[in-house]
Amino acid sequence: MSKVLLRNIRKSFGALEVIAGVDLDIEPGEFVVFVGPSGSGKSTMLRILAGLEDATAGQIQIGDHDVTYASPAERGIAMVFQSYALYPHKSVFENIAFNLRLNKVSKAEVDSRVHEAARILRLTELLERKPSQLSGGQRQRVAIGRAIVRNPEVFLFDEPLSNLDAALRVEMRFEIEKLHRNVGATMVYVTHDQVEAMTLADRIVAFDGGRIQQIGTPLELYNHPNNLFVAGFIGSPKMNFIAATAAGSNLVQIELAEQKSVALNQCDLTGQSDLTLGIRPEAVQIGTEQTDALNFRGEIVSLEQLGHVSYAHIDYGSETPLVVQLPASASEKRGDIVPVSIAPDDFHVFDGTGQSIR
Amino acid sequence: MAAAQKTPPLNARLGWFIVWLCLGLAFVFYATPILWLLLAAFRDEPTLFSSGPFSLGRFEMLAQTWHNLTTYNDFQIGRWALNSAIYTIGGVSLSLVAVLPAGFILATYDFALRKTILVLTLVAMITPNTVVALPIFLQMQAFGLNNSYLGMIIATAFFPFGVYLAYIYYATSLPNGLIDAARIDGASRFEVFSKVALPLSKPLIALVAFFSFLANWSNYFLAFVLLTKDELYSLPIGLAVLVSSSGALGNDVASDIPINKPEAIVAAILVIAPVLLLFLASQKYVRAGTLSGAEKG
Repeated sequence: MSKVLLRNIRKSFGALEVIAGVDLDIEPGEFVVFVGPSGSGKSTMLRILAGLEDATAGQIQIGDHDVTYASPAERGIAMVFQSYALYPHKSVFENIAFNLRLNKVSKAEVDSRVHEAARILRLTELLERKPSQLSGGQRQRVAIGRAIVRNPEVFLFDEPLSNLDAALRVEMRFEIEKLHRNVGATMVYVTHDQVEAMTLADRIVAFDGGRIQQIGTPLELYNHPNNLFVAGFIGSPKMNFIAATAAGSNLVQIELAEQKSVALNQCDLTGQSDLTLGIRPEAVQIGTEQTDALNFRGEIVSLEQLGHVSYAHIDYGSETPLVVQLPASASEKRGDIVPVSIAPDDFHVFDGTGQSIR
Repeated sequence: MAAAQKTPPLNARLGWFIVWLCLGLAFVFYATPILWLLLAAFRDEPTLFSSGPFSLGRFEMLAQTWHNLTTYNDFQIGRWALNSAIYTIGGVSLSLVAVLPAGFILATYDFALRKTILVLTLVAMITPNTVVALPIFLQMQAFGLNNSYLGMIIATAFFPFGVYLAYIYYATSLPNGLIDAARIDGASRFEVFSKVALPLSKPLIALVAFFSFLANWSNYFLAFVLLTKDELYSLPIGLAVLVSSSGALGNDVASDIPINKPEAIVAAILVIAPVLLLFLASQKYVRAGTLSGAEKG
C-alpha cells in the first residue's frame, strides 16, 4: 500500500501534447479511476505511471521513491491490460509465475505463491491450461493473478473489462472491487465506461484534452460537475444543456417559443452574460407545472422504454430535444404535447467558458 | 442439407469449368518438364533418344547411372553433397542467429538510426547477389577466408531478406501488449526476446530457415567465386564443372569420363530433391508464416 504522487506530468509526441500538466495525489489504498473519452490522455497517463512510456517532463513518486526514471519492474507496480496480454505459449501457472521466475524466486515459493493467487481467483483447476483454452473471463482472472502474485504496491488497470461481454463485465467488476477490499492495495483504473468509474472509484479523475477536468468522489462529480465536459460525461443519458443569458444577479432568461425567465438563488450571476444551463434527465418533471419553476410545453418526439424507466425526447423548439426520464408506468405517448417543469434548484449553471457557477 | 446439394445453375458450373480448365492447363505446362526429368532418370543414353519422351525406362538403367555417378573420382559427388550440407546448415544457422534478434529490435524498439537501418536492409535485400560477389571475394581474401568452410558460411549468412521477414513478423504478429506485460514482469530486452518473442516465432523460424536454405543450397555464383579447390566444391559447382568438363550435354562423342546425359539428369534431381522434401515437410509452417501477418491473432 503506497501513495502515488504525480507532479506536473507532461507528454508530447512531436508537436502534439497529449498530457498537458497533470498533478495528482493518490492516497495509500485508494481506488482511483481515470475516466475520459478516447484520446483524453487517460491511458497515456497510466502508461507513464507504469513506466512503459517516458514523461516529457514532470516527476512521479510511488511510496517514498522517486520513480520518474525507473524501469517498469523497479516501480513496485503490476498492470492488467485490456487485451489480457497473456503469454500464449505458457501455461496459466507459468503466466502467473513469470515475474517470480525472472526474479529467481525459489521453486517452493513460486509454487506456494502461484497456488495462493490461483485460489483467490478460483483458477486452481486451470493452472495447466494454455490461455487459448480459457474463456474471456478466465483469461482476465489469469491477468489479475499475474498482478497479485507479485504483491505490488500499486495495481494499474488499463480498461480491463472492455473486451468482455456485458454480463461478464458486471461479474468481473465485482471481482475487482472484492480484490481491492481484500488486498487493500492502491489501485489506479482506466476506463471510458462511467458505470465502472461510478461503481468502483473512491475518487474519479476526469480527463479531457490531456488535462484533469475534475477530481472527486463519484457523487461529487455527478452532483457538482466543475465544467460542461464533466457535466456531459458523467451521467447516462447525458445532461441536457440549454442556452441562456444572465439578466441580473439571480435571474436568467431563456429564449424558447416565447421568452422565459427563472430566478436561480443558488448562484450569483453578477457580471455574467452568456450561460449554459444543465438539467439531468431525471430532474425534469412532466405533466405538472410547479410554481417558481421553468415551465413550458413540448412534444414527445420519441420514447425509449427500458423496462424500469423510459426516456422521452421532447421537442421544445431548440436544436436538440430535451431528454426526460419517466417512470415505466407513465402513460405519455409519442406525439403527446406535455407540460414540462424544471425546478430552479435542479439547474447546473455554467458560464461562457463552460465553468460551473455556484 | 439436402437443399444445399442441388445442382448449381449452369453459369456457375461453367465458371468452375473454366477455372479448372485454366488450372489444369497451367499444371500440365509446368509439371511436364519435372515429370520428364523423373522419368528420364530411369533411362540410359541410347533410350533417351530412341524412345518417346515419356516412355518408361528400367530400374537397372538408373542403377547403372547411379553407379557411374557415385564411383566417378572416388565418390567425389558425395564429398560435394556433404560440403553443400555443411555450407547450408552453417549458413542457415548463422543467419537465424543474426536475423531473428535484428528483426525483433527493429520492430519493437525505437532507437536512433532505426529507420536508416531498415532502409539499408531493404537496399541490401534488392541488391542482386552477383553484384556483391566480387566485394565479398576481396573481403574474404583480406581475411584469408577464401576456400574455407568458415568463409563460405559467413558469406552466405548475410541474409537481409530474413531480417526484413523477421521485422514484418514481429511488427505485425507480436502484440505490443505482450512486450509491455513482459517489461512490467521485469524482463530485460533480451529476456523479452528470448522468453516471450522467440517461443512465439516458430512460423517465422520455419519461413526464414526455408528461404535461407533455398538460397544457400542452390547458391551457385558466390560459391563459384569463393571456392576454387574442387574438394571444397558445393554440389551445384561440382556438378556444373563435372557436366561441362565431361561434355555430357554436348552432341559430340562422349569423352572417356562416364558422365553423360542420364548422369546429368540424376545429378539435377539430386540437387532439387532436398528442396522439394524440405518444402513438403515444412510447408504447413511456411504457409502459416507467410499468412500470419494477414490474420489478426
